[in-house]
Amino acid sequence: MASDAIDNAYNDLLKAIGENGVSNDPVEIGLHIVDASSYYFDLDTHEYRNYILVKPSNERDVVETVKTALKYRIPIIPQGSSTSLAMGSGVIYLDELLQYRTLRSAIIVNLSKMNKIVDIRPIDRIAEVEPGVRIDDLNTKLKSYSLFFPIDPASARVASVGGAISTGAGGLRGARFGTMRDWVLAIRFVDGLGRVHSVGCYTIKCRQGLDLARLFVGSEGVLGIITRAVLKLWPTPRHVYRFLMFFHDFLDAYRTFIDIRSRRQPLVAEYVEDRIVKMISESLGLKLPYAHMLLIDIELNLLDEKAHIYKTVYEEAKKHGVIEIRSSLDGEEDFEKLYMIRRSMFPSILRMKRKPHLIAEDTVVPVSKIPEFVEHVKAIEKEYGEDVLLGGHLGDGNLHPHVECDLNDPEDRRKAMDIAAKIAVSALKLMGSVSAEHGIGSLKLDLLIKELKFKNSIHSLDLMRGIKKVFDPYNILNPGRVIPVD
Amino acid sequence: MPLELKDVVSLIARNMESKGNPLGVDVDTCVSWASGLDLDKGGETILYTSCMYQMVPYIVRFTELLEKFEGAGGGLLLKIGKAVSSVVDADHIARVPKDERDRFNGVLRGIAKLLKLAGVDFGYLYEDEPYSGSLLYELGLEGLFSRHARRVVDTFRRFGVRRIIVVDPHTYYVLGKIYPRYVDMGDLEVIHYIDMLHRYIDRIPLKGIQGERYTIHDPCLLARFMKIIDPQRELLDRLNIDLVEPQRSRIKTRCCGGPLESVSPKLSKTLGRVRASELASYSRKIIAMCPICISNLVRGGRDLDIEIYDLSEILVRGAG
Amino acid sequence: MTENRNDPYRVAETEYSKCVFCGFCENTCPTLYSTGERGYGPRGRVRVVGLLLKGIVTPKTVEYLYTCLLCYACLKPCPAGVDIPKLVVAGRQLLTSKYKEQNSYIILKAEMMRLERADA
Repeated sequence: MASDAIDNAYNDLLKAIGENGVSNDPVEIGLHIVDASSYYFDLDTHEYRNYILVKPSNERDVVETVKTALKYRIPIIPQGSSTSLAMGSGVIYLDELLQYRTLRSAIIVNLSKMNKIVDIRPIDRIAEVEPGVRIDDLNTKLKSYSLFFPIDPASARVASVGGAISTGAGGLRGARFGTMRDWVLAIRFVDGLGRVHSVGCYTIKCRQGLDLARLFVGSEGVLGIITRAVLKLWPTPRHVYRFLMFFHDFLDAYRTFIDIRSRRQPLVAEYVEDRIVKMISESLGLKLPYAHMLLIDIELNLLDEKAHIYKTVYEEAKKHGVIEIRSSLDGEEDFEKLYMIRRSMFPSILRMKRKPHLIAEDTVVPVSKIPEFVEHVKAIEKEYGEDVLLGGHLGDGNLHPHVECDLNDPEDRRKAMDIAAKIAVSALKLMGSVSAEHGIGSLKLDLLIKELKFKNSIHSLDLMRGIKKVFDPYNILNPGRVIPVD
Repeated sequence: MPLELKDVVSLIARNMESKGNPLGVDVDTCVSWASGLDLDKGGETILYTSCMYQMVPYIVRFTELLEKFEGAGGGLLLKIGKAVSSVVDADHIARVPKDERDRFNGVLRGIAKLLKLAGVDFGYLYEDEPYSGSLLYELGLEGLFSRHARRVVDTFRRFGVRRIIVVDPHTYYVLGKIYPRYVDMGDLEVIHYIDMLHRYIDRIPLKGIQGERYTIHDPCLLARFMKIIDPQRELLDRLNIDLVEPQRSRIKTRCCGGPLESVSPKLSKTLGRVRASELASYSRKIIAMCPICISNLVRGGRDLDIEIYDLSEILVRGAG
Repeated sequence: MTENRNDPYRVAETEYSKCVFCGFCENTCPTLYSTGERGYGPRGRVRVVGLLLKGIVTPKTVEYLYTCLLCYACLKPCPAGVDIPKLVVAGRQLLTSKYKEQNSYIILKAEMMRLERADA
């Protein structure tokens, strides 16, 4: 049964925003209460009545929603495309004891309708966009300016700008272009009291007191609801060559990457371990060697560098005993097809997995520590007798460990959580971190605590809680996410 | 807001009951294209139209009629009047100008001509030709569909048919992919006329026509599901026309919006407009190869300066 | 023929259980492009069938499932290999069949049964 507060809030919102922007239809609610990390969790049928969905068309709608939420003290869950991998954008969350919980009531604010590209300024190399714009759509629009937005999470086709800022997304080009925090210049947002703020600048250089705009990177909606963002753009690389190489073991692939990098910084450097390569071969029906794969993208400064780059990569790869090498340079392989092989990593694991669910961990270590990290993961695998498959962004040390799991089986879930914790500790010992680009959400609150303890900085949580309180004194914005409760 | 679905479904089902096709068009409308062609009735190989092309002008009008009721809440049947099928037959058929009917009958005559040039011997079932039932499947009317499919296959058997040449993607899809799940097809072979022409491409005297620019629209089912993509291009290539591929082409083609015409005519039209404008940015002359695509691109492209041709209309020109 | 293989309930369950809610299918969908409403996209429709299986059905269920074009654009981008069009048709079949009557979620049922009787 829905509470009076929910019913009243619904009526208020209908009046303020109109029926096209508000819904309490259980089916429509059902589409928005889960994200890509909680989709498997079933709510009881009657619970669907406890939520309201708001689809704002503009900033005014957002302000009205926050005011209504404040009036009835109902939590707000801001969301973009609901692809959070850390249980950050639905009504289901994990508490500090790692038990599933659902918010008793909530107003879900889905921002996908606010998807206008407000302004593209090619001379200034910036774009001003609403939060619902999808990264791929922005890039399509930017094509005619020969500019692009370089943050390329594997989910770029679906990920929204607002969501990418909120999770601090990175992706394949991390080594060369960093993450979201390097590309957000300014934002507008509505805070927990319904006040509109505009922070940051239209310029690269900007000293506007404390850097509030970047505070939003990775904040997952707990500080405010983003209604606009000013993003930095970059000229589209003109001549990019792609190499796909296969090696007998991880170290050969790793060393090849390091040696190539010492001669030329790649745009992209991706690694996929042998067992995943086998899965890709099987699910795509390709004849790839059962070996460790390295994908490297290199941008040519001048077209006549072609021969030189070709020679450099071949030399380094040969030195480390490459088994097979394919490139888009000699014209025998299609540029996109080579990428597809890497792109098929996640789909192939999904299709070949033996348990119902797949968890992609998000640890990161400095590039120099990657070999040790891989060793640790192998040891953890052995200890638990579970496969931990490694593949991802070699270039920035963010190899995603993939663990299969049956999340509906408490014992198996516990085991997966233990493995995740072990991997996280290993990353910490190697000067790394527990989350590189997926965010903390509620799934990784315990890991965040682990990290801060490890760094003797647990009291930093007090600062985070204090900041949260200033932005959102009544704790209505995505409560229970990112910042562990006291 | 789409139309009240049970109204749409019962309207279509009633037409199926009374006339054997979803729009309730007359048998004459379906078979008149073949008059004077001297096609045998039945035979081992038949040309199977499923009355799809013949219905194009009616689909356009029927959908425009439905569109008026969209957003007006339920009770469509009451609003249109009790005798829905008579509204469609009498009123709306009368309003389809003869030249429009002639055009789509002409498409079929063109296909027949091309097949003959290719040396393919085929018959036709005339008034005994059943509708494929594809819409019944798409609407989720499983019981009606599976019984209908059995009757269709029985009809083919009765006339000694072994090979069916289909002319549109929806019929091809439902016969080739869905029927086998519901009925025993035995040794019945289903082939699309484009594949058939391509098989005998060298027999057809195709020669160059005036160098105009056309853009090509791949039907979703044909390209993505049946993977018939290159044969039509190779056929067109013999005509030396300037064929442009839109960005969304081949397996990446974008739907014309047609399949929604009976459920949500407005959204269907919007999608038709999106696709028609996209195609128009490449060339104002568009080659399509599906009656549903043609009817919806016509609807969506009403106020655009475009011309939509069926593939066969272009091929026939090259065949002199 | 093989009743089991066509059983809409089974088809729906099998296909639905593969979905991981990643949304990679979404940017190919023409109806999502024109409406911006999640239920008008493949990921939304897959979940609508999931909700249907649990007995959560409203007029929106019909709206979302019946506005699918069955154009197959979403099939290839799906990493989990969900046959979305097949799932959507199975969902429609559930809506129009007598299946699971006890859940009383068959909005179209009365009309369908009349038609079935007329056809038989």
